Amino acid sequence: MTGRELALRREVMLAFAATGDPPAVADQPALRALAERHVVVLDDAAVPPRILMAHPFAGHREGARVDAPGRSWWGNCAWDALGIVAALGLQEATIHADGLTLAVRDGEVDAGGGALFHVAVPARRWWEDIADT
Amino acid sequence: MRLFRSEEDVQGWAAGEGRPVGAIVPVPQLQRLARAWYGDRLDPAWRPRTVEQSQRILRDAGLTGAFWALG
Repeated sequence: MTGRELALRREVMLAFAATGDPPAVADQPALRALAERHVVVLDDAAVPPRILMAHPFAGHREGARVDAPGRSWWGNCAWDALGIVAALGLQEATIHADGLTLAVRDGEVDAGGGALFHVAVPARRWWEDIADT
Repeated sequence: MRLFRSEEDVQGWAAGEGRPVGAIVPVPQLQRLARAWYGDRLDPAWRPRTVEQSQRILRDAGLTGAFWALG
């Protein structure tokens, strides 16, 4: 990964962390390089292409939401939501995923009333369709 | 990847979708995985992991076997 790509990736991650949304990116060649490395996932139907995912963050609103006082972030699933909690070092948060709620207190998630995370697709095939795993 | 209330709900979802049940991970184990997988994503020193490094994270989280093989 080039220095230019690493810098853009950091810009993307910091924007997600600060706002919950992806930034507008002018450097489309570097963004495309990040997509080829699976660092970001792009919505190519948008002009210019919009960042749909930069794991654990998601630019769409169809997955999981992490709420902290006055702030929210979005991920694709509960794994990503817990990743956002970890990446941001959140001590208190509430995760909403698939109609269920998980509470994080003192940095630890509750057991979710015995909630279970199901992975439907074997790991080696995740990137065949990252939206259906 | 979805969160469910119970194993019965997983099985019901899989039957409804006509798909096999994959792997089921309890939430506390998922948090251990998420910390190791994503905890460094805002670190200025972050660099891409190798497949071997990612596989080690899965293994250390207790996720082993053919289903969890990345390569």
